[in-house]
Amino acid sequence: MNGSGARLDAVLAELVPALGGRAVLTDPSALRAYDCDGLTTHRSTPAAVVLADDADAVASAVRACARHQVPFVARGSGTGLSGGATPRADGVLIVTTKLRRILAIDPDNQRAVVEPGVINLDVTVAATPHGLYFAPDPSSQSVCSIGGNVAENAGGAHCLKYGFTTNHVTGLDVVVADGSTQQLGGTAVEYPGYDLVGTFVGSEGTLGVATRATLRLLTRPEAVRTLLAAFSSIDDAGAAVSSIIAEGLLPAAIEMMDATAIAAVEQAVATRYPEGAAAVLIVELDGPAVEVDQDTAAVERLCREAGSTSLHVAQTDQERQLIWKGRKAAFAAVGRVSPDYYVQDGVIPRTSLPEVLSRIEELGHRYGLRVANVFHAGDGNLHPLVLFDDAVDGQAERAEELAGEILALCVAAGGSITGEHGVGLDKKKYMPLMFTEDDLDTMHRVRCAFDPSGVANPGKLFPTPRLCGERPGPRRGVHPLTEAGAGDVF
Amino acid sequence: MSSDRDTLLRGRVADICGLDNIRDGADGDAVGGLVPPVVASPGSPREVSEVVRAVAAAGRCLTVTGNRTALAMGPPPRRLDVLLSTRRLNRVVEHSPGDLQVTAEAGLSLAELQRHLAGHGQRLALDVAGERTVGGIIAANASGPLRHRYGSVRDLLIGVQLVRADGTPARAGGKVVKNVAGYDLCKLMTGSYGTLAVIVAATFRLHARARASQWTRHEIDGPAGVRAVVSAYARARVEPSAIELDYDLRTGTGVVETLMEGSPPGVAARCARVGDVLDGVAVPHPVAATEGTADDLVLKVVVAPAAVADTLERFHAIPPVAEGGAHVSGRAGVGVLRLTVAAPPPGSVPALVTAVRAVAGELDGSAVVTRAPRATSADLDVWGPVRGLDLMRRVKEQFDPGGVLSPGRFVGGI
Repeated sequence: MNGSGARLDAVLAELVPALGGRAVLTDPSALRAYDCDGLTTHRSTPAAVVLADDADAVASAVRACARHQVPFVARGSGTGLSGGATPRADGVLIVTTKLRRILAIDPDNQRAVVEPGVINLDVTVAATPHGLYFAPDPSSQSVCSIGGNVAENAGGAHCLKYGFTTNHVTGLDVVVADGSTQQLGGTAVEYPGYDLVGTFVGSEGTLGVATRATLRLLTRPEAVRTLLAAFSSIDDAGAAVSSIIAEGLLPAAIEMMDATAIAAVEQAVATRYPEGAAAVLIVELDGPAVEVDQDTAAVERLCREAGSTSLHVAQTDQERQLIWKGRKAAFAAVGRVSPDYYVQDGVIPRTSLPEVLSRIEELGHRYGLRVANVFHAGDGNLHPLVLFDDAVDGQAERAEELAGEILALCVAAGGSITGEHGVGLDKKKYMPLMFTEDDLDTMHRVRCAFDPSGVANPGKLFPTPRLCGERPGPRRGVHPLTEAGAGDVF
Repeated sequence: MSSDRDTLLRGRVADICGLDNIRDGADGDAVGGLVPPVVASPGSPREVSEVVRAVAAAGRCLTVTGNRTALAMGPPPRRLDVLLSTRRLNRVVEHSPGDLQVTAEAGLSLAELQRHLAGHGQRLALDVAGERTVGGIIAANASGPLRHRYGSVRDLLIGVQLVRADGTPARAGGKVVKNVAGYDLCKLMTGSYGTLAVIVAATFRLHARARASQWTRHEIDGPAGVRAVVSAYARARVEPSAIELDYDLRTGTGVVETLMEGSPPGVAARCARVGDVLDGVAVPHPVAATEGTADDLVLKVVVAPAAVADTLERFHAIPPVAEGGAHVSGRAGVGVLRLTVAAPPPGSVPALVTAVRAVAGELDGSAVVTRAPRATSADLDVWGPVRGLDLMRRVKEQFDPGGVLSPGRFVGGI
């Protein structure tokens, strides 16, 4: 009865009667549709899929998995780019896409209460009649779900000014790994006790499954201006970014694309980005009209001073949409010009942008691979796309190796291995570049508090498998105070 | 309890910090009435680590403090052997103006840090009143008027260096704003009141200093006045940086003061736009918060953001609050308030707290006692009901299984 097959059978024997056969998939052909998330290079067919109808179904599934020690992985829309929702062949995939009710839009408190399967953009659509919107806007916002945003602490182009998912979640209902549901936070901005909402956001499904989220909504800014500037070198574009920040301006977004990315985008969506540019910057300013006009003029001046070869401020909403369409379609567009590509998500301090970009170019030459750069320049979040052809022997490995070197560059510059995609499966082996064994052990203690038996999305985030339990330390066993009867050390 | 062990521990701590940096505790060092036998001021993160390790190894307990401004908060620790002061950890470790980030040691005062940053035209968008340290602000999740626009510590803290309860140093987060590598322990540390680890240094994101700023005072009459001012600003979409309330519950009058920041013409234009719909006068700074006396009852009341006027209405309906000389101040736009009841009879405090807590609960909020009159019973429930308490206990058990760090001071006896 100890084999993983027998344990899985025990889980199914509980779940099929409880949730109904149609909510529990075990047919191999049906399961294959769930074998990967947005990181398609990692695939694994789950042993079973639970299509949860409501929070209770999620809790039942988690409880059954916990009872029989079967690993589970939660999945929303499956758009993640780090393999956070890659299933386990010996585990259950809990799919939350059917939990898609927007339970409340509260314009007075500027909150939305939603289920995890709700699509990111749909929150904004529902809030729009009240002049409100949900700020986090990952490129996949028309398909990605709030549950995934919460798990990965999703960012987007506008987090330069408005922050990430974690800055926009005030409450969560969470099914933790023992199957119990915990209400954390709420409508107010803080509650007494540890900030478990903040701890849960970005935990990549390793602490439990969110079944309800209270989100902050922001007031639509009075004015928005979007500017497209072309440069004859990446360095010039980088210098423009630095001078915008040095001027004390805080645009809503500063995005950059290099020539390879521009060419791919142009071919795919005909955005009319300036021809022959080595780099384009998209700068968006929003806020009260007076300041936005003033700041737009300042950005135009700074771009010119940095050597911009062409400058255009979108005059209509359509023009603005078109500029953004190119940026948001960049990954897919690169997918059309190269048989395969590998996206990275490194972050560097903004001031090291020119140096790191030229090092990336050198690396590309050394590996004989093209690298397209599409990134959030304002906050130093790079998305180098390493282009390769999987049909050519060894190229995939070389691409991954190159991507790894890029991440090492980012960390050496004082940055991070991931700005918004998450660690997942993809980057867990790079965690030791950033963190010592003690740092990782400290993080792991959080996991042990939420999931002592390690059934929630195991094998992700941490570079090596870890168990919760006894560990060496200066003190073990009964606290001397308790021993002396001096106090109850819970 | 063996006093040998305490003597040995004291000697060890003196070896680590140097004799000049340890002393006997005095009445002024008391934490909830408990005077620590030893006050130690380690001078580096490494010394902090060694002190914590020594205290843990001796099976003793410590409480961390910065500038002692939050020591009166919370119940007394179950045991206190060493008061660990961070005041010698007071360096700006690294400031990269072009990257808008700074790393400071925990004992640096916010005022000193701001002075340093101002020299570069920057600021940390945290304007906590009083002489607070960086570490203390994080541990107590303290905020000021700018919270309206910039959020609290949790929205500005991007990296933390800490010493665990067994003395192990560790880091989380980093030096870049955008970073999702690993669990966000910055959030976990924020508001943890020194019960999970000792914060030794922190990295924050910075903002440029505003080129112009203007406070405007609006007189209000009754709770409806608050609602009118807050909604006028929201409708005008002028993006104030702060909306502060100062309200006398006995008279039912007060002021709402707002801060507009930006470029000089932008600030002028936005103030003018509000002026078209709302009476107000420009003032150099907001009214100073009433400090009160040691006999006052002070609560931090946090409610749903739009429930501030409702909160005042409900406080008016609690006679001992409304008639006894009470005052509400704080962030009118985000729902973070401070209620001060002037010198209530100590015997009435538990009932008062219960009544206030009921109001906060109805508005999806909480009420925590930040200062109780001296003669209040020690059993007063300072923290009130806590969501997720069971998980919090499990987190504490993982981070501090031996109960070394301020045992009993936090929610639910953590």
